[in-house]
Parts: sequence; structure tokens; C-alpha cells
Amino acid sequence: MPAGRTVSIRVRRFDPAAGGRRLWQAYDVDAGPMMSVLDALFWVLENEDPTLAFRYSCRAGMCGSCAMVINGREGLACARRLERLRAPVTVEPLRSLPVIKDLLVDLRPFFEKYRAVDPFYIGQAASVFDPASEPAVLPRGDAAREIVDRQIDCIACGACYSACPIVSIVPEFLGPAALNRAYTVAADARDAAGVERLHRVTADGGVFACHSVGNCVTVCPVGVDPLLSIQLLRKGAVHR
Amino acid sequence: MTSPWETLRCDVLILGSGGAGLMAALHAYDAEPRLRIVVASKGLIGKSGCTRLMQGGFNAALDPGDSPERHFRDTILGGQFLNDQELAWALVSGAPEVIRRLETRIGVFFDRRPDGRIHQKAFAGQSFDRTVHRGDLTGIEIMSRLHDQLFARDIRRLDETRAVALLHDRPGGRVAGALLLRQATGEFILAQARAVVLATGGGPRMYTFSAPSLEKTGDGYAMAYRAGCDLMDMEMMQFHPTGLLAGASRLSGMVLEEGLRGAGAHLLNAQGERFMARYDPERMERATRDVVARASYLEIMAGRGTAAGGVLLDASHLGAGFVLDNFPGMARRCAEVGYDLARAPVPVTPTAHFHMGGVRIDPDCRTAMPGLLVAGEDAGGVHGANRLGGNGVAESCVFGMRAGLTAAELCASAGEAAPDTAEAEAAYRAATAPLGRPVVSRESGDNPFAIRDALQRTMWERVGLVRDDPGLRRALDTIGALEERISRAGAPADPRANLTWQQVLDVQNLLVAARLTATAARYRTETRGSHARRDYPARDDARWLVNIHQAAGREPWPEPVRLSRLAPGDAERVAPA
Repeated sequence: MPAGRTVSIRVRRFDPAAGGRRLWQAYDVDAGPMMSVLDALFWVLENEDPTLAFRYSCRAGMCGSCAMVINGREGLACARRLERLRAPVTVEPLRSLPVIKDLLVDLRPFFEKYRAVDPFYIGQAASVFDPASEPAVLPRGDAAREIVDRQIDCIACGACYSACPIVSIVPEFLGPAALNRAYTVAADARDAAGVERLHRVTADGGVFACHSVGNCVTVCPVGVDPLLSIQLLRKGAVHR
Repeated sequence: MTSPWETLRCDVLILGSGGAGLMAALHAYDAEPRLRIVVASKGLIGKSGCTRLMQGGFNAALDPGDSPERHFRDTILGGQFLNDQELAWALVSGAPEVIRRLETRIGVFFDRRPDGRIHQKAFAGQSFDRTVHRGDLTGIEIMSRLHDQLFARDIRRLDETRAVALLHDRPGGRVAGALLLRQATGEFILAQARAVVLATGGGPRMYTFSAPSLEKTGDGYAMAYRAGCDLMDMEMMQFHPTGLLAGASRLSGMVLEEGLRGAGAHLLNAQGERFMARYDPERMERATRDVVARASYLEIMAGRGTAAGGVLLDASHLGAGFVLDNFPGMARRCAEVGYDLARAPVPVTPTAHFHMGGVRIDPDCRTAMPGLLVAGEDAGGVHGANRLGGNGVAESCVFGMRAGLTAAELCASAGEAAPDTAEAEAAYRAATAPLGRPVVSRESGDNPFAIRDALQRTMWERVGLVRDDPGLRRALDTIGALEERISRAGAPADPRANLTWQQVLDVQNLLVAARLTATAARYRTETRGSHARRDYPARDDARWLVNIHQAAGREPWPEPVRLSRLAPGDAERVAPA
């Protein structure tokens, strides 16, 4: 291990067994080169505190399991390098979601809202068996696909949901990720769904509850612009 | 005593939520929507597993100039004739339909050619450009859309709920369910199912450098082995040649995708030489993964590696614009740790990537154990001694679908059978044993993280890219000592969201997978595909066109490969013999 340096991190802890109090706990992490916040949390777990709880999977910015609030701002713990963060580095669980333990939040409310927009593609009845049949022929760079292609890479990490002030004060607001998905699937030229999905996103808690604050755009770890999707839905840019 | 678990009854229990698990769930449901289907996943459903991490793409013979026969040939040649040829045929013949299904039913959208049809790119070891993709982060699109489709169906999800054991019925003749553990609450579930689909993904995380997501710890292999299944080809561990080296970060080992080499990127040693010229002058960097990974390893061992212990992947001569347009995900990943993929060489190392071995299945994913189906990386035989890039996600999706359809079929005929509660109790006691034992420090003893590190070092040094008998024997001794140590490891008493406890269970499973790997590696005294023996450097078709099988309670045994469609030296044959 190359010679490291010590980086202080302060973790917002919550132990359901200890009366539900949320306390800050500080650790001095032996930080090697290129270590991320996620690496630092593992260091704590493995060397200092076997009770620390957090969520992880891919460690490469692809799965969205480790979104949390780092130095006051949402991000993926695996994608934020200690070297580029002001110390002490503060780490808190996502906002507007129930905390299970420490940095582990219950994402069910987030996914319930995601589900509420009917996020699934509905295909035409094309044959999948006929080798001659070709899925939709859509030229590369087709204008209809251009925005969808940019917005479709959402990894449903919950960062935008946590950063959105409307989510925190309007409980029925569907939030940026769900509305972004509603746009990308509705604007998919191949999708065969009717107008129901659009009715849902323009009803209470839908796109008109958004105040265009734009935190969702700032914090998105994969460069999606949920606000643009919301604006396009508001303008009725998707026709059925 | 009151049961330490809640009970759950379903028709189809799917363990794992990568490509194989979700394809199984969706297709079982669509075949018979009245089925009670449960997906249980160690991580968040749709997020965990490796399909999501898949970058390069999905091989399917779509172009009129290509054919499944040609894809088959490439797959068998890549696998050096160790593949189960009926499984390989099921893969290549099913892949085009699955691509059409993913596009027209699931909503995946792959990259297009200028004429609007699906684009296919070049990958190593293939005679045709047949790799379907979405940019260089194809897995995210496939997994996100599969996950969306779950919401359109009445399928019960158990997120962050790992299986700790497969359970038999009381006579023991079939699998009748599994004991599950909800990691957030520490509660157990005794799940009874008419069909269980094992699709947890293999995941060679028992190596110092490895590519898979962190939660993939050989759980499927370990559960299947304990349940009496037959595992084959476990010596066949694929090392990907280009794992990113990222200092002290766990990002190390994450793959920089093969398409870079397909597009013409070079591999250089510390002296700036394109060293592939010494190992495969004809194919150079586009040789199959086994060849390129081993060449990199030998360069590093010969002292021609970089200070960081790797070699260099150089795409800069392709032009910064080209690299940024075609590999934006890879460029971002490199930039995150301070490398500029478009303009300068990036340090890489071979990385343990994919386990070709696994549970023996038939083309419908059936195992020798009635009630148990296996799909994806948990299964063995499809890829033989080396997997082609782009065949992994194809396997997960093709066989996941087949497992779902088979499960629906089984449910039409299979009766209900209750899992043996004595077996469940034993599994429960074993799983909870570490709780409340002291957690000792890494330096002073049986700490699960220290045991994992020791296992990874041993596997990397002795069961890695080049092996020999003395090293494998020492590895097996070390594994034995680590098995002892993990049996004493402790975790905090509160079972809720207890990562240390989960780590103990993980390392137990990693050790099973490691022992199976090292044992088979010692058994095969030749060099073939991903398995290279310093003491037996040649491929020996006269003796070793066999698969090595292992099952609990018996010695490993060889079975001849059935060359039903193609034999070494055949020019054309592919139709079934």
C-alpha cells in the first residue's frame, strides 16, 4: 500500500436500536491514492467500526446503490475521490427517505413514485421469431431520439430525489427521476402506450408541481437533465 | 421453539436479479401470469449483479452476412473445444431472437447504423462484427429496461434479501425452496417454491484484482455445491486483459472494455513496446482474452511492467475525438481517477472477470436436481475454456429466458413439496453462528476482512493466470487454513444491516468457489484457454478433451466432451450429429 495520509470523515449515524438518535461520528481514515468516499467507508468498516452500515454494489458509478450526501451535496460515494473533497468530509444519508441504519435509506418511496408513472415500455405486437423482422429502423441521430438518448441513462440512484426541495415539502410530488423516465418512455417513438401516462404526469404531484429549482440537474451523477424532461412534458412536447 | 423465520410460498423463486434473473422472472410471468413469482436479490433488484456493468455489448448473428453457425464456430474455437456444444448452440441460435425481444418487448434501444438498423461492432476473437451495443455502457440500458418491466407485472420483489441455502424436500430428492435472509432486518424467510432459479452470478471476487460488482461472492456456486449439484470446468477462470489500475481504490480491476482493442487500441509495456507482437503477432491486441491477459501478466512478471505493476492501454493514436465519441463511459471512468484515455496511455492489469465453470445444466437450464434451474454465470459449459467478449450478457439473457419458460412449464406439472425444516434449521444455525462472537482486529486473528485479503492474495499468486502443481497445492493448504479461520470469525450481535456479518457469509462462499477452482486447476495437467500450467504448457487434445466435474462428497471426475457439432480440425460441421 503506498504511503497514505489521514483524512477525517464525519458520518451521520443512526442506530435503530439506540432510540433513533442521529449522531455525528468522526473517523480518521488511512487514505491511499485515488480512494473514493466508498473506499473510505469500507476502510472504517474493516478497521475501525464493524457496525457501520451503507449500501454498495458496482463501485464504478454504474448501479446507483451508493448515493448519499457528501459535504452537503448528493453524489455517488464510489465516484467522489477523497483527494478532491474538502476535509473533514461529511457523509449523510439521502434526504426525504426513511433511514434504516446509518447511511442506508429505504428507497421504497422513491421506487413507488417511479412505478406510478408506468415506467415500462409498451411495444407494438411485432414478431420476435421472424428472423427477417427488424426492430424499429431509426436512423442514427434521428431528432426524435436525440433528447431521449441523452436522458435515458438514469441509474435511479435517488440523488435528484434527495436534492429536490419540492420533494421534501410536497409529499405527493413524483420527483425528478420518475418524471424523467415518464418523458423518455413517452417520447420513445416505438412506445405504443396511450395518453394515460401523460395524464398521470400532468395531474397533482406531476410536472406542474416542479418549481424549476434545478438541483436535480446539478447533482445527477450521470449527466441526465431531469428538468429538461419536466419542461418538455409541461410544454406538451410529447404527442399521442 | 417458535420458528426463527417467516414462511413464504410461491411457484417460482428466482435468486438473483441480473440479466438472467430478471429475464427469467419476466418470461415465467408472461408464460403464465397466474404464477406466484418471487425475485430475491442480495442487492437492490436491477442494480446489483454484473449485467449492469457490462460495457461492450451482446453478440448475436443479425446481419445477413453472418450466421448462428459462424457465431457457434467462433464460440467453440474461443472455448478451445471444452464447451458443451448443445449449450453453445442454444446460445447462438437464441441470441438473435432475444435481441429482437429486448428491443420490441422490453424497450431496450441499441445503437443504430446510419441506415437506422442495429449497429454491430468488432470484438476480439470473432470472425464477424456482431456485437450489439448501446455506446460503451450497454448493460445499464438492458438492466434499466428489464427493471422497468417488472413494474408492469405482478412479481414480488425481495430486495437485499440473500439466499443462504437451497433446501430440499424431506426425502431429499428435489429442491423445494431456499432459506432467505433479509439483510436490512436480519430476519429469515423459509421460502417454498415449485421451481427455484439460481441466477446469483458467479463473480470471481476471490482474486486481488477482479471486475465484478462487490456483492458477487460465489454465493450460487457455494449453495449449489452444498445442495449436491455437479459443478464443471471450475478451473476455467477468465482474466480480462484490461482492468483499470486505480491506486488504493476498489475501482481497481474494473474493466476498460474490449471494444477499445477492437477499435485498434494498443497494449504497451513500460518500455513502450507493443508486446503482443511476441505472443500473437497475427491478431496482436485483438487476440482472445486468455491470450492477451496472459501476455500482459508475463510482461509484468518479466519486469517489463509499470511502477504500478501493470501495463499500458493506449488509445491516443485513434484520435481524441474518436475515443470520446465512441467510449465516453470509459473516458469518464478514467478521468475520475486522473487519466486521460483519449490522449495518453492508461495503466491496466489483468483482472479476474468471469467464471466459465459452474453448475451443469441442459439447454433448458435443468440440473440433475429436480426443482432447481440454473442460468447465467452460475451455470457452466456454455463457454468452455474461454468466453468471448459479448457472449456473457448473451448467455444471461438467452438462458435467463429459457429458465423462466422452463420454470413455468415445471409449475404446470410439479406438485408442492415442503422444504425440510431440519435442513433449514441447520442452515439457520450456521448462518447466525458468527453473530455476537467478538470481532477481532485485522492484525490479531480471525477477522473476516483479513481472511478475504489473504484468500485474494493466494488466488492471485497461485491460482491465477499461470499455475503449477506446487503452487496449487500450497493454495489448497492456505484455503484449508482460511476455512478454519472463517469458522471462528465473529460479527456484531445486532443482525440488522450488519455488513460484517454479511462479510463472514460472503467469505465462506468465496472459499467454496476458491477450493473448487484450485482443485480443478490442479487436476487439469495441460494448458487450455484460460487455464495455463507452467508445468504442462501444451494443449493436449488426446487426453484432455474432457470436462472436470466436482460434487460434494466425491473426488473430481472427468467426462469426455461431446463433440456433437464441431471437432478440432473440422472445417464445416455444425448441424447436430
